[in-house]
Amino acid sequence: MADPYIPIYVNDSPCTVAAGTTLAQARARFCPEAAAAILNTVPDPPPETVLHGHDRLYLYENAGCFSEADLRRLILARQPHAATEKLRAACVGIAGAGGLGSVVAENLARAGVGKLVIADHDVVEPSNLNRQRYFLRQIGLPKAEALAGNLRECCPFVEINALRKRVTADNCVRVFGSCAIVCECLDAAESKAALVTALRRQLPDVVIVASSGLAGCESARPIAIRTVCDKLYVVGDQHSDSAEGLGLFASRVGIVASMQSHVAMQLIVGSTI
Amino acid sequence: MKLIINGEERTFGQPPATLASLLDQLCVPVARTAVELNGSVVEKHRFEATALREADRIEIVSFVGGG
Repeated sequence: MADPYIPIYVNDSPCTVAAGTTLAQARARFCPEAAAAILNTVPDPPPETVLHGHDRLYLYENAGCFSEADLRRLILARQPHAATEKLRAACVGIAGAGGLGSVVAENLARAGVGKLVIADHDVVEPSNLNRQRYFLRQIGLPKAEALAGNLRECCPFVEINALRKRVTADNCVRVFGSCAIVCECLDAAESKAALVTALRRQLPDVVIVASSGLAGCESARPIAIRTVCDKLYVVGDQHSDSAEGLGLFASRVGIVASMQSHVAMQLIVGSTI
Repeated sequence: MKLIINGEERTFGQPPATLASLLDQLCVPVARTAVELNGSVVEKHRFEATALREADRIEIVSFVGGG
C-alpha cells in the first residue's frame, strides 16, 4: 500500500503532506496570501499539479521585509537546490574587476556562490561605463569597493572580500589561496600570461578560467572555450586584441565574461564543460 | 623529432634543442604566453634551460589584450 503521506520542502523546511495533494491545496495550507509559487524551479505551475515526494516548493508574499536567509532562499528558487548548495560552499577568485570581472562577479554572486575574492587596483572612469557594471555615482571609486557595494545590493548573502590591489606573481597565493577557482579577468596580455603562469606554478590545484580575445564588433561565433588541461581553461576567440584599436563592447566582452562564469559554475556543480 | 603542440603532432626536421628555440621557431610572443610542458607550467626564465625530448607535449597559450 502506498504511503498516505509524502515529504516535501516548503521554503526549504521539511513538511509532510497527504499523497495526492495539489499545488493549490499546499498553497492554501502553507501560505494562502502567496503572491507566487515556484515548484522545483518552475514558476507558477498549474494549481492542479500534484506534488511528489521531495518536491521543493517556494511560496512567498511580495510585501514586507525579508530576512537575509529568506532572501537567499527566494532569490535562488529558480535554481536546482542541489546545485545551489554546492555553489554556496564555493569560493571563487576574480582577478580584475573591469569589463570581464564585473560581469563574472555579478553572475557568480547572483548564482549564490558563497564567497568571492575580488582584486583590482583601478578606479571607475567614465570610459568604463560602456561595458563595466558600474554607475555614474561610482566614478572615481576603487572598482573593488564599488563592485562589492553593487553585489551587496542584489545578493547580500554572498561574502565578498574586495581587495584594492594588483594581483601579481608575488601576492597571488596570499590573495587567492582560499579559492578553488580563479577567473583571470585582467586587461593586458602580458599580465594575463604572468598571472596564469604564477597561479599554475604556485597554486597547482586551483582551476584557472582565463580569457583571451574579446575585442571589437566582429562575430561572436569564434568565441569558444579552450581546455588546455583540467586546471586551465581559456575563453575567447584567442585573437582579437584590444591593443589593435578594435574597441571593446559590452556585448562581446560580456559573452566572454558570461562564458567564464558559466565554466566556473559548471566546475562547482560538477557538470561537463 | 616529433612534438605534440597544442594537441597536434608536429614533426621537426631541425629539432629545437630547447623550449626557447622552439618558441622562437614558432614566432611565439614570449612575453604574453604561458607554456606548459608535459602538464607542468614552465616559467619564462626556464625556457632557455628546458631541453625538449621526443614526444614531449607542449601547450602554448598566447594571450591578447582586453578585459
